[in-house]
Amino acid sequence: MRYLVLFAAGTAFAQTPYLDYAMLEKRIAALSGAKVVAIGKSAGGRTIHAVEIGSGKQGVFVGANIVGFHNAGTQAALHLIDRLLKDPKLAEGKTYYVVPSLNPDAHDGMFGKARYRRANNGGALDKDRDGLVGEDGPNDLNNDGRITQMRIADPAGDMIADSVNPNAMIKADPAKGQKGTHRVVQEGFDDDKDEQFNEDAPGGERPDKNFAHGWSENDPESGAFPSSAPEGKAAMDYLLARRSVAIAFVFGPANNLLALPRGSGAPVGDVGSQRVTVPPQFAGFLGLEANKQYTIDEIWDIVKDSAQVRAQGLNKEQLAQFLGGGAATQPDPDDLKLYEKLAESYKKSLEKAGLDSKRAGSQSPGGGFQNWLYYHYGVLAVELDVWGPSSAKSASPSPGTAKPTEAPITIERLEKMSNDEFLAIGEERISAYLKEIKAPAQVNAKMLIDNVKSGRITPARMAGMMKQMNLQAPAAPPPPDLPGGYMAWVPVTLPDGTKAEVGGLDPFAEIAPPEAELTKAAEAHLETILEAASQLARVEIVETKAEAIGDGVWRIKAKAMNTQPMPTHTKHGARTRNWLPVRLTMDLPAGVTPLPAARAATSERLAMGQGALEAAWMIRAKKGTKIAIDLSTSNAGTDRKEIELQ
Amino acid sequence: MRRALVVLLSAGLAAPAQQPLAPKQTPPDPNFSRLYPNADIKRFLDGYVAAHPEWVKLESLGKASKGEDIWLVTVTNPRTGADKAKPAMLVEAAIHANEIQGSEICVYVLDFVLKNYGKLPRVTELLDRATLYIVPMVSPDSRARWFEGPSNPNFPRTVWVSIDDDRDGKSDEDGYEDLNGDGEITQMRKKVALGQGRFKLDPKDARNLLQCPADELCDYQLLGTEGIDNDNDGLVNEDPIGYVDPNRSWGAGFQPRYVQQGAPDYPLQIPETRAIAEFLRAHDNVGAAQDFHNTGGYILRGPGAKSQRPYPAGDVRAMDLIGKEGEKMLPGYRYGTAFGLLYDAYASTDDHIYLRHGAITFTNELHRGLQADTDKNGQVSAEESLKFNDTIAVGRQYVEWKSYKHPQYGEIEIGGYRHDTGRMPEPFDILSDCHRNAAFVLFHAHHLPRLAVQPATVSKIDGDLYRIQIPVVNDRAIPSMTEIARQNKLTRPDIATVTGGKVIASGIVRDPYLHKVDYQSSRPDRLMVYGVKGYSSELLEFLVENPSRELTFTYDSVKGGKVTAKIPVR
Repeated sequence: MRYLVLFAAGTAFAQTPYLDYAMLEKRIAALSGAKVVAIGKSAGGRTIHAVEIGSGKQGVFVGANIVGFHNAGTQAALHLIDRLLKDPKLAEGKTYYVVPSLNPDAHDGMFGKARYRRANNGGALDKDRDGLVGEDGPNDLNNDGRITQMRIADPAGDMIADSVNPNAMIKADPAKGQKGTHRVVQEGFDDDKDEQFNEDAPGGERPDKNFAHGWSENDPESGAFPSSAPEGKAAMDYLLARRSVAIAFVFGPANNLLALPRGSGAPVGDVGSQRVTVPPQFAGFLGLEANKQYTIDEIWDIVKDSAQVRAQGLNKEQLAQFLGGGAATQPDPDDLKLYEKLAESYKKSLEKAGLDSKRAGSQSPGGGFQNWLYYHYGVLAVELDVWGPSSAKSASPSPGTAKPTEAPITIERLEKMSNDEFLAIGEERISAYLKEIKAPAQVNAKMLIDNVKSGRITPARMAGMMKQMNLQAPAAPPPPDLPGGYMAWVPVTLPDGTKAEVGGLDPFAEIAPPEAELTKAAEAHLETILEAASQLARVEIVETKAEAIGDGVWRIKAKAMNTQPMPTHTKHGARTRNWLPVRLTMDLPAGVTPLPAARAATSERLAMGQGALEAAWMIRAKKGTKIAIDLSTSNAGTDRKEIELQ
Repeated sequence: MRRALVVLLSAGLAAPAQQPLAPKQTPPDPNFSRLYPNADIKRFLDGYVAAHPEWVKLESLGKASKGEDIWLVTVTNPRTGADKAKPAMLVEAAIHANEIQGSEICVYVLDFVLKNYGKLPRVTELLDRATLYIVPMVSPDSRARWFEGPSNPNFPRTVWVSIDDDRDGKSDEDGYEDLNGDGEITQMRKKVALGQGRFKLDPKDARNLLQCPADELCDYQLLGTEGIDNDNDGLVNEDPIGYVDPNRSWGAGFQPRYVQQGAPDYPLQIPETRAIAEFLRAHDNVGAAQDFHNTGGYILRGPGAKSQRPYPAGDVRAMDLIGKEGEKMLPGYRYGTAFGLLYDAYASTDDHIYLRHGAITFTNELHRGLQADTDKNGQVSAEESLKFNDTIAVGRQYVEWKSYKHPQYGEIEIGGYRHDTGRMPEPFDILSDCHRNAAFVLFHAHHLPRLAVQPATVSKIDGDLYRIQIPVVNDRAIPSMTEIARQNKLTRPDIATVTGGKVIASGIVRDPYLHKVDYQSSRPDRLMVYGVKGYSSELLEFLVENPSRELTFTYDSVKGGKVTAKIPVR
């Protein structure tokens, strides 16, 4: 899992396990044994690729990095692909649909001249609605190849330096008598002078905020309208054309198994307990009082046996819809039990890999992919973050783990540097720099510091002299391997004269682990996915019976069950009616007449321990005739049993 | 202090072109007392383009589900500015394919403005300062099939897509049939033994069935729409082609299918409405929109469902002003919210265009449909309806019951109303509904924001520092930025700039006499104004250092166009 990646405009090579999008595409093109499908194009025109492995009737979907900066997810998806291709037995009975990077335009935020967490696709968007487009993005003020944090001394600020790790800024807690000393923003200028820092970075809408469930209508980044982003549309079209999918995994910043999904808004609960008002035009017809509140269950009991309801085959959900029942905003309690079960085995996998299973996970965002998969597509959907800083560390970051990295001194930097900034570098590093550029012995750090202090020389003048003497650093030192930790604070002066300091947390420190950790995490997630896949529903015809009841008439009975721990559909998925019900039908040869018309027996959902689907038909046939019973589902397999009438 | 002379440079007023248009060839002359299939509508559109190639542009917004083009007509005076530089109104129709006659109104609007430019000042002003975007057939595939038949008043309604309505693994396997081959899909009924029916023949008119009284035995069954149980599942016509309702497919207020019947799998999944959503995204200048449906005589605005948030008061004021006038222009039509007057409908056109584009939007349900209401009780009884068919329509509307041997029901009767009845007026009445609704479109478009700069007040503060106060007035009902556009951050605000001197500070004057000014805290050279409300003005103040003899003031509004004025200073 190690590849060479070119960093910082050709100045240096650093080794990292992470692939930029061009290299990812090469990797995907080089896969053998997998079917690669181009599922759409990003706003910036890059192709989004899905990798399909296996030929089973049940689908497992894995979609990574729709957020754009979750490159760890892309690597975990690649790991899954590699392992499934190496050992095809792992995919038996399934088809894996894996999209390693759903937001190609943002994917390379990690690999630019200055890495930052990019989530916006390659479109154009005036995020701060000031009539200028993408005019105020972050800037790498200290040229250290990353966008970190910037702190500005401000008595009205709400942040203070952490007493344990002075390179970390934490929120001041008034209850502990702490008073803020700084405000902290993302590193960069206020390019458009509107008193906001970096509020309009280049790029378009955010695909990870653009799905319809929980979509925000007053955040320009969430998109012009839900489903406007081509990346999400490509993913949805791909999934909607593959109805065999029984479970979906999203690799992104949230973790639904360390923090079970909570949903949003008030609980709507079971459809039957929703309270609705019956409009006057229907109330009289149904024998109810207009404008009084009833539960859907109460109304259902009144109407369920009426001729109209039976003739049209209406169900309770349709009645609720008709009377204005709302959409679910929280996971169904039955479905939450499935998440709990998955969480148990997930945590075991993490522990086995030596990873923290007690760290906090965060919730999937409104408008996010996981929300659409669960609430609208109607499938069990799990977002996993692959890796996060361990709970022990994040509780009290120890100075020992912090590896301060400072910007290298260069002639270009010296030219722009103020006296204070120069003095802040410190004697030790200046000394090392002078040695590096092979400065004459009489030019030493102490002398330069004294001269700057007394005002006899400025850093710019110093730079001029160095240029004259042809003193140059051989090459900038390579940036540190990923991920960075905390950077020491380096003073900078903003164009308007504001003094600030740049440093703090590397943008990828808490989301992109170093290689050894990444390998362990990818393996643990592979295990979780395979384990969940092995539990997926599988239906079987468990019993058939043909009973002669006289004069060539037979009563045919069949029973189907789900023999696996997972249900054929989530409770909510059944409610969406997006999936075909489990269905038992007869396949009759010519000459056999059903008495009466043989309607299919169906069940919205089969769950272990919650009963079977039973069918009973009558047919007229000769003794010795062979008939067949078919069991069909969209995503839990099929079965067929033949019966000879004896 | 002295009043400065202001020279208006607003494009619409600077370039008079007020003669009636001279067509390059004879323009089409449609008969607006009939309905036209798609090909005829397209022929008319081509004809207007050929007659006025500079004024009328025709382009396809894309292909509908089965390949018909979704045509867009753009009409404006090309000499007073490009279409996108002007305030604009979108007019669309036949998003429900069976709601046919809106397309004729679209053509009528186009026909009327082209033939009356330079004759009627309102029309002249409209094409000089604004743009009309017209999409006469949003769902052209299904509209074409409604004409081709067999069809009925309610089918086809949705886009022409395959959906497995009965969820048996097969799509479109059990639709309607024109069993007796008369080109119409009508109704089926069956005479049964006394006691087995829930209906009986109306003794006054045997075409009509009456509900069986509680104390009688009856002998008729109503079997529903013409067709058979094609897939032997015990249900008739339960899986016809279609059912993604484009008017439940938009982005704003979207709800999944289990809440909103007819919703697609995700917002704007279908090409018909997505084409228009993408068009709107690329045309921020659209500040008003009108959609045509039928039936019942309504001028509807959003919200579409009662659970949605009410619209902001300022925008409702503009809607009320136009909608209430509409009630007077369209006799019998009622104006109000869609959910209040009809029923909950999520992700409809009104909500999307208003909530996502900040444009004042109405849906008109055409055809009040009370021509047959002879007793004036506000409802048309079955008896009145048949009477109307027999007398006024001279029998055109109704297909008499005829016997038919049905493969499943046996001896039955087939008959009922033709597909082009009920939801639309009889031909002789189409013209009136057409004109009145077109007039309502022109009235709505008239109220697109119209901005003007009034004379500025220039005063010297000290040395080289001058205070310039500039009033900008909107003399129409629709604000230059709606409240929803601000709340939902849909567009940038209007931007006011002054060139010809260094702008030290700028702001909006709240009280000129007490000199209360809200100064903008940064970027004084780009004063952000959240619109000028309808029939209202904003007073803008600029502190300018060392101005030249003449300053140039520009007010650039997303939906109100751009106005410029020269302000002499010394």
